Amino acid sequence: MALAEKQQTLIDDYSIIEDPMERFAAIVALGRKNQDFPDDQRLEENLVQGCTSQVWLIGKTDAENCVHFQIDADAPGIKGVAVLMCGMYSGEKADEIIATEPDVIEALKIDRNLTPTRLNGLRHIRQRIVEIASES
Amino acid sequence: MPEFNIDKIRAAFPILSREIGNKPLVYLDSGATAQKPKAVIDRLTHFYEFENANIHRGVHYLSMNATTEYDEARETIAKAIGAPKVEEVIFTRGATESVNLVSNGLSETLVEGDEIVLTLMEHHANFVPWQILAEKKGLTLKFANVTDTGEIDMEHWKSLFSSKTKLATFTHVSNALGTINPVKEMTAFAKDKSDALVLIDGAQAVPHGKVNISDLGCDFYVFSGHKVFGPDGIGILWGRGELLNAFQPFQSGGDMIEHVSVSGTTFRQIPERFEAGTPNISGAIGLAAAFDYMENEVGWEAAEAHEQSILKYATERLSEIEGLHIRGTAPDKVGVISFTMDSAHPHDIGTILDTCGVAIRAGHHCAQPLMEHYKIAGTARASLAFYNNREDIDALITGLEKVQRFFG
Repeated sequence: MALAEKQQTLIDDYSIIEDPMERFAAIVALGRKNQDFPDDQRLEENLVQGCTSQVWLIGKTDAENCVHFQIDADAPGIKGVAVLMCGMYSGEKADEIIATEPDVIEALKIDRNLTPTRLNGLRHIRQRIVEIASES
Repeated sequence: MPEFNIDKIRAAFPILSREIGNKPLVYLDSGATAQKPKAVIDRLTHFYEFENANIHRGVHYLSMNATTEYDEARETIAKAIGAPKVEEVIFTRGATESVNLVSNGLSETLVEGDEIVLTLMEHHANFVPWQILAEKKGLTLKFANVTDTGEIDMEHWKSLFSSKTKLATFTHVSNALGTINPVKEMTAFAKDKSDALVLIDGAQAVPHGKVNISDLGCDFYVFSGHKVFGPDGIGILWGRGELLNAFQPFQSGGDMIEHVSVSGTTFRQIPERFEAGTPNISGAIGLAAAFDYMENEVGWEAAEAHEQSILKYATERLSEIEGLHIRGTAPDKVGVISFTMDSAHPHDIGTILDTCGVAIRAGHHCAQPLMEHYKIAGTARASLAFYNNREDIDALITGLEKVQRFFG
């Protein structure tokens, strides 16, 4: 599935939940369930700069040149959104990752649940995703 | 003085009757900026509708009237804060500019090796200017520790003084914790043990009770107008005249000069010395209106007593919430309750509360060294003013229960 299609599926799936707060709660729950970030990678060098909370992001490229991301955050709200975003980009080719903006944030009205400083933090996460993809 | 009636007080603040997302506004962010009573709003409107003119240099009625209003505003504020001399009250953009003005003035006299004693609970506004000056001049900064209850470790603070101490600066009230520091005693100690000048950051103290600068014994006292129910962009530096007149001007231009010629310029004495260009005339007049309102319509003592009763109620209610930790439990506090929750990040708390119409602040509160000391990224902070009531606290508690359901 192309990344654009994958993003649209994500939007369609979460749009089933009509109430924006309930939708946000589902995204927070997604983050809570995601506990696979390796403890030994919670390093200063993996911190995403510019986030108000601590966000760690790592990525690696597989044999088929697809990039896989793992992310963790110390704030449940931002972690849910970050996991959603990284899940969308994970397993995709670098050029697609770089070319596809995370429209899902606005489409699901997640931006309404986040302060401007946290939205800025999300932009830094997206920027770091692009950097990792570019380096792959 | 009218009797303190919280419903009448709240009615005097138009913004408190609005809704946020179909919920009544619960404003618990007065530490960031206080709301404005109609008396201040009306005074600003009246100035622009009927009195607007530049000051000091006009020969027409409006200019002379605006000059009188501006000068009277200074007198009102000087009286309200107990400044011994009116001209020692300088209008600035706010507490931040006031501190910068003093650090700029002291840069002429401080030399390499001189020491400044600060505390770890300073707002960045009373931290960064000294750090920059220290780097520029080779000064040593010494920081007093803060105890677990959020008070200055006095033994440690006292141990920092030496013959090289040239300035002691400390906040009157911690913006992040609400702690009221014993500034009079601290000033007396600093003066007794050293030749240090003393600067007090009063930004978070002035909105919570009557301050009498003459009684404190300090050399400089700074605060912002917008936190004391006045307009934005206006603040006060009070300083001893002989010290201020010895400082080089902070900014230069019109209004602050005595004589300008191609061979050189001479500068006026205070207050004009530090009020270059057209000042914030309406801001000064609006700030005086805020002090008038507090003095004549509310009464500082009644306001303080009411705020303390709400603080007590809020502290009791918040203490009942499992997994909530209040940061700053000093016995002497203003209406600031900083807290963390096991289940949620401060920003998450702020986001959920916002959906309930409850406005708080979340983050490091411009006090990152203090947060580092406590080894926390930040706190959620509910900050009160005399216009808050028990219903505001009940709404906060309901919101926090929602936070627990959401993230718990």
